[in-house]
Amino acid sequence: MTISANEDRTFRMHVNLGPQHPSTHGVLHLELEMYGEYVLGIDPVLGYGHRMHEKMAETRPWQSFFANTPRIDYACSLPHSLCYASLLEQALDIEVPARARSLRIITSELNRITSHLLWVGAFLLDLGAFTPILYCFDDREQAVDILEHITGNRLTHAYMCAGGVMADTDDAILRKTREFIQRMRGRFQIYDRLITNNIIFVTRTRDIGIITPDMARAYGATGPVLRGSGVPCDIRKIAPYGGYDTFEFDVPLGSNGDCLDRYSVRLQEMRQSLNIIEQALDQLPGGPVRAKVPRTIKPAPGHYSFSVEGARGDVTYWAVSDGSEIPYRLKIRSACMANLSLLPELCQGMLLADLISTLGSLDLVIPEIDR
Amino acid sequence: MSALPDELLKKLQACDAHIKTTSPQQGSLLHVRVTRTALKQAATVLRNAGLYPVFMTAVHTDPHVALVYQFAASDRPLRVLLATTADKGGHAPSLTPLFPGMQWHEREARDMFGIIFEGHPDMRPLILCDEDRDLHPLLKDPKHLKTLEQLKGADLEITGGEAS
Amino acid sequence: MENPGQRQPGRPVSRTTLGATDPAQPDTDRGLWQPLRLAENILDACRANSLWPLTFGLSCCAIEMMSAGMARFDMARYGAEVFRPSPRQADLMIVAGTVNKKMAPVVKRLYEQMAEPKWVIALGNCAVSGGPFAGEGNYAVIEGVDKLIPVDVYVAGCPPRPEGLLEAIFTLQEKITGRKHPFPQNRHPQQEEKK
Repeated sequence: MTISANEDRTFRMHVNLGPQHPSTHGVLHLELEMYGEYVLGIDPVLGYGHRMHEKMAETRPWQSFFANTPRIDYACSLPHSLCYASLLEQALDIEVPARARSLRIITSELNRITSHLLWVGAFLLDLGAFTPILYCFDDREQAVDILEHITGNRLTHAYMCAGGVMADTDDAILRKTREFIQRMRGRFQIYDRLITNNIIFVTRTRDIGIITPDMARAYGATGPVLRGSGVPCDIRKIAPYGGYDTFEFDVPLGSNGDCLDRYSVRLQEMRQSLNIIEQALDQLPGGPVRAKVPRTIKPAPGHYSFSVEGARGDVTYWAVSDGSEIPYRLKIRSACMANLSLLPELCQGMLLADLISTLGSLDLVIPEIDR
Repeated sequence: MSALPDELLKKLQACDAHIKTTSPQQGSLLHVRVTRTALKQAATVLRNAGLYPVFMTAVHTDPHVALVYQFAASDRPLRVLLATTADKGGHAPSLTPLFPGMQWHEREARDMFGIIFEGHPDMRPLILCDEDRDLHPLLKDPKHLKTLEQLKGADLEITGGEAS
Repeated sequence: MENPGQRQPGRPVSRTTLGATDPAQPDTDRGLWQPLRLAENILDACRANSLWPLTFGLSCCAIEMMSAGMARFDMARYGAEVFRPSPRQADLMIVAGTVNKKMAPVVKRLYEQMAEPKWVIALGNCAVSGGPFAGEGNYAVIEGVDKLIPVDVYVAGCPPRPEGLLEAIFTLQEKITGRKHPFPQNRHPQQEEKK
């Protein structure tokens, strides 16, 4: 469009979105070049949540890093802990007992459900709807109660350790988990009536923020962002770990790559997680929950890598060991960083309101990007 | 375990790369080490094979900083670990023109290790604040520095004249 | 002479108190001060029971702050319902999460933009003292938000439970009005049945 000199002077603005803003999930700072309501360009400024996790890994023993892993991505923390624990088990050649594997999967999938519920509520809050977040948090509190009983904490669960999990759980909470599954399955119709079939929600998300599969792959975007564009990439299916290959579940896909598809993918993923938890409860074996692990963990010199499917995408840890009890280097690959990096190219020419929809649909946790 | 794509292996070998294959828990991992000049060529091969960039990072070793890239396939359990080293002055070619997703990883590597990527469109600090732009916190103290041989990182090391 | 800053029964300790902390004139209940004292009490009760928090979630504790605002823990019962995104409209800043060097000038600026009277709750170990990130090798995390701005109430925990944030609101209300809530909210229902 042609811009006259006068319009250019009056409509062009440089606006700061954040670092304190109700619609950024954490402390994201976007510097926007705007022309009226249209976004010409974005410059994300990161680092407001930098908490030196990789540096801390180089100053503490291997097992002390389990205090950091829940705090990297706090909304879905158990997959991070699972990734680090599996990396150590791979390095030390430890076999995790069967009961621990099942408990890990049950708690990881419950955590995925709490993360997606938090996302649905916060996404709708960004779009201006205040009611859905109350329903989402109601369901989330039921799941968080179960996680609190099993792991001991509501949010930053210190549950995984090298060799298994920290403690066993009792049958009462497993019965309560089954009740939660039944209850949650009935709640999806509320979400469908309130959100999915809501004309305002659909208008704000259909055909908004379309990400093509090639674009997603070029930026390394994974998780629901990639699956919303139709690419069936889920590490639990492609490179199964921790016993996921013994469970049957589908990988929901989108077709268009817009915000509505990413929302639908996450909603369906919650249903699939409930299926996985139910199967895990049916097959839950007895036995120990922790393998014998040496008191000081000293992996042999070399480098090790492990990847899991977090709620936001591919979470990979890469560690270099020099044979001592302190890591030489630990690299944490955060799923959100790749997901956010495609936003500057994606948002050019968008309306500001559509930018908020797109930003929300990426499901960002900024301290995971900044580590 | 799915079969390794042989074409990919052949094309990587054409880039004068040293390749080792391991089979850790999750599928197969190709360790590819290349010289700095062949880095872009190897990355192009991986891009044409449809792999997505997982991460780019660095490890401070004696005498040079080793650069490590990981790529993954989205339809099979295949990961490729591409390794090279920065030169004495900490320079390395940028892969941003090939993989736009590398842009932020390389900015972070500059923040943490001080590596300058040639061809990168924007080398501003990403994670650290302005006053800490030259802090380079992940560079190690000389007394804690190890060589790649001590780290048994032979598959990360490049040999030959390119090392300097 | 007792410490003029110490809470005395029946006398509020808000920053806008008139003359109550002047040791030369301890007895300010008579004469012209009395209607002003009554007005102060009413104003302090209003302020305490309708705190407007600023949406300032930085990291993990922000999720527990959100939970405290939601249906189960419900901060709205105690007046602190209306989360304002703009500091100009807020009077309570709940610093929920880690403050690092890049974020520090932002925290200070937001605090300065808030109008008086204003209060700060430091929620979580990171805001209290740097939390798990303080210690050897720390180059980025500010060890406690009270190094930047004055804090009224500290809540320990990593993250603290939403009930911890509710207790912080009660403590702050007590600090503002000078007296405890007339109907204590922290009586356990089972203890009630035993009575």
